[in-house]
Amino acid sequence: METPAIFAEELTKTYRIFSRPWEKYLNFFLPVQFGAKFYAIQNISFSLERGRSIGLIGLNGSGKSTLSNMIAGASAPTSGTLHIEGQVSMTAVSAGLNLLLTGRENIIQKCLLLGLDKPQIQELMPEIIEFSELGDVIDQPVKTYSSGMRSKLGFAISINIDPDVLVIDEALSVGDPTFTQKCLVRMQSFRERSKTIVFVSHSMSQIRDFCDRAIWLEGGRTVAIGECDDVVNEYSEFIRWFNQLPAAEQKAYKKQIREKQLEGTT
Amino acid sequence: MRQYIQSLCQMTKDIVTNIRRIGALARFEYIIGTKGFFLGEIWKLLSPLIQIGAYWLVFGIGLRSGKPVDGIPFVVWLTCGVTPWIWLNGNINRAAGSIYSKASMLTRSNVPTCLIPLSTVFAHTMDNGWTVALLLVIYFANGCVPTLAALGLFYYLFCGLMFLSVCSLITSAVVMLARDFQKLLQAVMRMMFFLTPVFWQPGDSLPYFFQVFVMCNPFAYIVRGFRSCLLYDRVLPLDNRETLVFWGIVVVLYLIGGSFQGKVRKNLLDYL
Repeated sequence: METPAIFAEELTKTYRIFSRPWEKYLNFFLPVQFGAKFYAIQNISFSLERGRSIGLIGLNGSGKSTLSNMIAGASAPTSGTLHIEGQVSMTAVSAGLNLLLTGRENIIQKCLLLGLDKPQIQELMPEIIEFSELGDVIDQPVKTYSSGMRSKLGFAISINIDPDVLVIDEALSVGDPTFTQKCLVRMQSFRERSKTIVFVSHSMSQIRDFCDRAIWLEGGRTVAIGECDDVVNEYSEFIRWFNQLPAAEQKAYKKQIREKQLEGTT
Repeated sequence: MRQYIQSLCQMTKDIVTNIRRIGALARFEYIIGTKGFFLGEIWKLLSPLIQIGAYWLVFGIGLRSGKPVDGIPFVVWLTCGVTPWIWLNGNINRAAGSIYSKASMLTRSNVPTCLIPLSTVFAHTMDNGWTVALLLVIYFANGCVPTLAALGLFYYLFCGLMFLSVCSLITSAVVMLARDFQKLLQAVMRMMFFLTPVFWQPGDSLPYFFQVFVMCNPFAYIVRGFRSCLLYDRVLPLDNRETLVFWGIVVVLYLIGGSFQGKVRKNLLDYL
């Protein structure tokens, strides 16, 4: 069997919740750790072969972004193993652009940060500008861009640097449907070249269309993992059930999830 | 302890394998630096000119009434010390905020954070090319002739780069933890200006503990080095212990930086 593109075993990420502000500083300078543990991600295991795509679904605060950040390498797991085969690129709603620089300069900076050299950037530049649909505006400062334009630029950079694993964290929810369609087509061709995609979205139809597998997260833990359709159905079922609950019970349910994370019960 | 050694090794590896990336980022930052300024590139010449002019008025004309130092025109003597000081001071302040100011870009990608302060150090060093040009103009206009010891400037440039790099690894990490640190650093640097022999000469008349302090002060090592290369025909200080102390400080700071950078790299998101 070939090595999976993403392999995660017993992945856990904890944050510290401080009751006193100075505990943060003590944690930085001393080897001992203060503060209550908060489990953002707890014991998640999965693996994904190349050329497949996985959807992460769940309510807000369920750990989708934390998990995708870890896969993108922007945040280290507290315990457990996570192995990623090849280069990862991530795109998110806040696209990580420097507002003072122009679109073109942002492309250069981002590419330089990711370790590309000048000839490579020269080569990619027209493709990225073309894909972002920005045209002449590319030489204007990003602060003048609309949120849709920013996310287009962010997405165009991420997909055109041709990573092995692409993490998309709700980035498609900002662009208009024509751009979303274009991205989905592009992602499809990306996958056909046996590249891997991690897709975070609240749009069940996009997940259904696009993913082979899905993980449903709740309070940092896996509720269901498996074939995309099954998991999405289960999740939709849950949403319907949840929405018909009276407001007080909804609140109690969410509170209960949070308490579990805080205690860190296994 | 094991964790510490791991993060130190990781940082060293990141730096060594990404030397070219640091260079490319520094060049980019250098080009982008004067964007949005009406006078652009000219500021790189104008701001040291104003600073040197002010120091010369206050310390040269005001306090010393223009008397030369060791037979060297005061303005030359002063410029030889102020030039490295402008470089060190500006660089320390700017590199401290480097990771913080780019944090939004960094959290979206798997980039070793230690590359950012280092590239800022190099970019700012390039900015100081104009200050050096200014120094040379003042130096030659006053009829000074360099000796072979002037080549020692390259040694002190190297010293400065190393010292600034290790400082930036620490300061940029601590600023992520607490923004106050940048204010504190600015205040410390303002004090350091007076504790470093930029406009005065260390001599035997100073109290003993202060002589020891000047000997151990890495800023003083570089400032005095610039002067001795250009004006006193000598590269290394008379006392070899000064060189040892300087490099000792650099190594210790690097070891501390390894621990701090490891923490920031792992949990950058937590510090935002």
